[in-house]
Amino acid sequence: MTGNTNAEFRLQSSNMWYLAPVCETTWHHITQEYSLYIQHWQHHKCRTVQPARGSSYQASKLVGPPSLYTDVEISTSPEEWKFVERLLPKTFIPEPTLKSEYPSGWKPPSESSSSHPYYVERNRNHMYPLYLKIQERGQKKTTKLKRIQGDIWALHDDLKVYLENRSKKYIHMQIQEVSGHINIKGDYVSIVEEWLQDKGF
Amino acid sequence: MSFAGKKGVEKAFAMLRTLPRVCLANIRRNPGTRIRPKRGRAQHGGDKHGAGNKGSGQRQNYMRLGYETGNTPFYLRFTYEPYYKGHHLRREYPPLSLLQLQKMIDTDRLDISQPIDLSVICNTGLYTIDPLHKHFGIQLTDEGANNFKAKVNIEVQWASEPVIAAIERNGGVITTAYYDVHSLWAVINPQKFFKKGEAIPRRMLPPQDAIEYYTNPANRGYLADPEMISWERLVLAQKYGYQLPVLENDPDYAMLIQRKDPRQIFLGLEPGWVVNLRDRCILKPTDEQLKQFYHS
Repeated sequence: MTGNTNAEFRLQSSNMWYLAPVCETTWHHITQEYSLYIQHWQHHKCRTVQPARGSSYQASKLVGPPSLYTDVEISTSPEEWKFVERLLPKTFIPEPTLKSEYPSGWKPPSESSSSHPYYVERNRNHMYPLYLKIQERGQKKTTKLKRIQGDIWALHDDLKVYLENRSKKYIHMQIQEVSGHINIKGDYVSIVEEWLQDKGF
Repeated sequence: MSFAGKKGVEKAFAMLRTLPRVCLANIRRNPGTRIRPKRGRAQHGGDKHGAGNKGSGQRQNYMRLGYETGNTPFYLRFTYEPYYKGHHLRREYPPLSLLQLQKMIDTDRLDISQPIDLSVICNTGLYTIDPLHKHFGIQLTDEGANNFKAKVNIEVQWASEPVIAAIERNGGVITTAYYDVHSLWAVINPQKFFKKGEAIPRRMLPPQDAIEYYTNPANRGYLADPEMISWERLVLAQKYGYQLPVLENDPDYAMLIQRKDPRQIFLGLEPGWVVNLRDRCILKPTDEQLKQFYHS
């Protein structure tokens, strides 16, 4: 709509802006430009070129001609790319390296873990597969030990003796032999964790 | 799944072989189950069906809940104190303890040779925040402060005095920084953001009620005067009684002094840039006006 000097698009009256009706010459300009636009896209269609969009498909408009956008300088500097790589998540959980001390109290499995008739495997985060299940609004607590391999009955007997000595109470335990789980009635997470550490798992 | 000892499994199979098959003909209800009475239809069986005689019970047009037929209802009878007024508007900072942070470092989930910030911690998958729940970032709590032994350059959104002391005692540095919600979406999942192909947003300044926190050197705010921060480091060392390690003599000095610009949300990447993950390149706009916009 350039060069259209006689048409006033907007009239100001009493602090309000109104859209004035567009005069005939302007209308001619608009229709001409619009038809050109359509022709442009139809031309693209017959060459089976998909109109480009931004990545969030539903929200974005069709990408216009490059003249609408700013020029860019393309950088492939590896020094700058390091800052990008730092922000990308790892696709795997790394194996913890051996250190002289672990201030958090976490310990890697030791050699002594293989000297028992049973074995407790770490979970994928390298933690004990030991969980506390809280039900009935905190009234019912169950400690669950998973990933038990080998003789689960021997583990049950050893753990039961240890827990009863520590807590001076009768311990109710349940064995799920097929899945290799043990449920303990009550919250014994920290005591079982100590036992697992003593055994070297 | 691990198939532990075969003793029990074999016993179960042996028992199953001798037992009859379970079918509709040989099952019965569990003992003690309630059998619902059937709705009667005859002269006295089909009377009221539990709805009673006359009134709202029979017509099933019950009064609205709490209505007391003209009395001031119980729920309006007493005054109340709005303890939680505006709770849905307050900023929330989900906690991360120093113990958890140390555990992540011990198990090599975090690399302390690089600066640690919200993006890096979210990328571990062990800490998540949801901006839709008014979560604005990490609150580092002092659980495990006495056992904390790592030298880190960490940026969190909220930290208390003992936490700052625990980090600085080990020769580390801590900054508290604010991210507005729009930048937060990019910060908590940078990979997803880069895949959108959008320009990295510039970070907005904190809202009015957070400015005081983030300009305070005692909180190690990112808008505070750096000279005042080094003064406060010394003050805190004397208060908690530890020898403040000299940063300038540290072999990791270059890493420890890395900070983001108040407008920057990713370290080393400026607002306005577009990261192309597929072609492994960075697009930087050259338009002067645009540059000025992203840097102001």
